[in-house]
Amino acid sequence: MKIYLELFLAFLKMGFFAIGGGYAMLPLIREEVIGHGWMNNAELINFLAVSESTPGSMSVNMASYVGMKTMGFPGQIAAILGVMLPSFTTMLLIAIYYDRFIKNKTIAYILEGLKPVVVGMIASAVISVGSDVFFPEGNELVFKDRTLIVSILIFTLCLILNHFRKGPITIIVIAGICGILAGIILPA
Amino acid sequence: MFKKCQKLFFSFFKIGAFTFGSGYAMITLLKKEIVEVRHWMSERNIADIIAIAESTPGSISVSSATFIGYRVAGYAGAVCATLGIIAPSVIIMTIVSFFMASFANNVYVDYAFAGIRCAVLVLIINATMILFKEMGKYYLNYIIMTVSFLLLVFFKINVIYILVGDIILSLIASFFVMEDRP
Repeated sequence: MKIYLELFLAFLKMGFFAIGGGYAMLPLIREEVIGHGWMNNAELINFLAVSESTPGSMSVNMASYVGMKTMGFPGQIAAILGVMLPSFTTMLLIAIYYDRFIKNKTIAYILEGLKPVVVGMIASAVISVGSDVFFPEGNELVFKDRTLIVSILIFTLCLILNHFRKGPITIIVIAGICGILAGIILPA
Repeated sequence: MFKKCQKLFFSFFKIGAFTFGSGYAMITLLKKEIVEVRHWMSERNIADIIAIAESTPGSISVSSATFIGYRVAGYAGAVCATLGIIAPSVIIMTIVSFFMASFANNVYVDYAFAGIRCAVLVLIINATMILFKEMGKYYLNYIIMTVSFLLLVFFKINVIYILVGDIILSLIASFFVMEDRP
């Protein structure tokens, strides 16, 4: 029983501090997950690679994976409940009191004031994701020395699809297929 | 009610299944599904939700699911939408936990995801445009946008400090300008 509580509490902590998302939380995740002996360093790096390339946020992925690996389905449920609880409660409260919340002048100001920061944040994500896509390092150089040209071609195709208002799912699927084709066509 | 919850679950399941990389790429899909297909909210609401989700605990995708779920169908809606958005990642991570080693080294998986990363970049660019359109066009906003962008890209400042600093700035502004909101 104690291990379930440990899983729940550790992921509750991660869920609570998962503000801004992604790699900002990596130090905390490392401390909890490696500290408890649920993963070792190499496993964590492999996990990050897989988590990055599968759907879902890192914290929920981490909870599902670690919970499942340590204690099977009950462990998974304990970890997921922990990681979800802070955001679920916060967003539920905001949703319930939204009309009062949004009419509050101070909050309206804060929300308006957050918008430019959010644009800045996401624009910075364009830069960091862009450099990962066009100038990857090490084992992310999937297409060897042709990585740049293949990335530019697929990127341009996606831009065109997007311009013609194709849905995100279509764009992701076509890009995935193009990636596999490029890998098969290019001699190793 | 049951029908609405069902729709919420499947809409967010779809969004959850295609949320690759950061939650930012998800914004494009969220807008399409929630605003254009289901007409549950307006584009302006989406920008508000992203700003709220960004500054509260939890990922943008899960937070916006809880919020939209409640606004559409109450408590049951919040639960259904939240379960919907996490279900794909829980299912996939359960499978991955059994096959971690072979999955991480499969070359075709690598090829596919190298392609998908290009698509994710396009979706994030698209989301930037959506949120930029919803931002108030004042000099101060352009300055805050540029400064936070530069701080993040060149000085690698933790996002939390930028958010907190911006909230303090907004609070000060709200004291000085008591009439109509910006």
